[in-house]
This record gives sequence, structure tokens and C-alpha cells, in this order.
Amino acid sequence: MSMIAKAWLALMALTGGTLAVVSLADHLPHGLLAFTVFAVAGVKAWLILVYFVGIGRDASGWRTILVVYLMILCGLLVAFIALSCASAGLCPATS
Amino acid sequence: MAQDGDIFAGLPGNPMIWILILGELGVFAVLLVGFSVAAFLNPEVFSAGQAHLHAVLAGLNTVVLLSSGALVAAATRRLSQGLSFRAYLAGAMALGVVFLVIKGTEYSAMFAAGFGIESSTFFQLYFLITGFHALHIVFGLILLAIGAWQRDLDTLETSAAFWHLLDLLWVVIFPVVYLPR
Repeated sequence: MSMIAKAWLALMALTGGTLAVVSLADHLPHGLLAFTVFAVAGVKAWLILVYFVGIGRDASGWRTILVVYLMILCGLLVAFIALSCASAGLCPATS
Repeated sequence: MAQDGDIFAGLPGNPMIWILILGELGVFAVLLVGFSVAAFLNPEVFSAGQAHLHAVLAGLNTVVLLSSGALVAAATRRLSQGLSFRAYLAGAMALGVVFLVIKGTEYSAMFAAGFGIESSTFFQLYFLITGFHALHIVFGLILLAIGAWQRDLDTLETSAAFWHLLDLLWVVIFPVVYLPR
């Protein structure tokens, strides 16, 4: 099986996992839910960059820049989601 | 296409597409962070708005777009090996059209339920972000068609790089817009 096929299978599994986690939204602390979903999104984006786009070791500088971009973006998004639900009292204090 | 010493060395395709891609990454980052800031300022409005979205359709679209991306990657690999690639690219483009049809179905359901771009801040940003992404899908389909027509590896890598940008953006847009708040 090619690396592209393996990456596709991993992406499908991660997408299914995301939907399963979101379906449990009412039973999970909201902060944990947001962190999990965006961490998975970051992994999916990394798989796309490396195995679909093909940004390998010969462009490791660009790969690092794009991974840092994703980490900052996903980090900001998780922070604002956690802040918004906390400020509205929509999530338990344990989140 | 990139030359030694070129800052775009190692990136597949024409360097010009990477200038566009970096710009698009910046634009979508602003849109997504803007969406999250607006949600922070109006949590009840955004929570209510998201309750009306079709997360299952969006999840299905994720599967469709990632599968399309895999076919584009496979087509590019096959062309680099001198093998036939157009069937893979045709499959990828067909899935791109399926993505747009599902998106149209989602929008139709929204309009039928009485929600439009003026319904609330949430729906303004929802239609702006997902509609802007869908417009990029249309542009990406045109680039893929050019890649299939020309049978040139650099052209196909250029088209593929843009298409994979749309995959990457969608996997971030999906949880931002559709994750229940």
C-alpha cells in the first residue's frame, strides 16, 4: 500500500474519530473537546502537507513554517472557544 | 520549477502558486480567528446558530474533499512516473463537484429554514467563510482541468498544491464552524 493510501486511511480514521468525539459533546468538558478536535485537525493538516503536498526533508524549512502556522492558528482557535464558552457559562468549570 | 538558492526550493509546483497559497493561508487565518473572536463576543448567538448547521453533511464533505486530495496526490505521483494519471484526476474533480453539490444542499436547507446572510453575525461569517472556500474549490477545479489538459508535471504539481491547500483549510474550517459551542 502506498504512503498516499496510508495517509488517506489515517485521515478517514481521524475524521471518523472527530465526528465520534463531537457526538459526545454533551458529556465532555468543552475545553477538552475543543483541544482534542483541534489537535486532530492539526495532525490531519500535517498529514496533508507531508503526504499529499509532498513537502519533505528538502523543504524542511517550509514544513516547519507551515507547522508553526498551524500550531499558532489552532492554539488561538482553542483559546477563543474556551474563553467564549467560559464567559457565557456554557461549559463546566472543570473544562 | 524552483531553482537552487530560491526561497521556494523544495516546494512542488510553480513558486507563484506558493505566493498565492501563503496569502490565502493568511486571509483564512484572519477569517477563522475573526469568527472565534465574534463567537467570544456573542456566545449565545453563535451557539444558537451552530445548532442549525448540518454537521453530518460537513463531515461527509470532509471525507469527500480528503478523498479528492488523495486522488490528486496519486495522479501527480503517477505522472511523475510516466504512468496514466487522467482517470485519477477525473475522479478527484468529480469529488470536487460532489463537495460543491453537498455544500449547495446545505445552503438550500439553511435558506429553506429561513436563515440567510443577514440573519445574524454567525450566519454572515458562516456564509462568508464557507462560501469563500467553495469559490476556491471552483477555482481549484479549473486549475485541475488545466493540469489534466497539459500533461506537464510542473503544471499538475502547481494545481495539486492549490487543491491540497483547500484540503488543509477545510480540516481547520470544519471544527471552527461546525463544532458545537
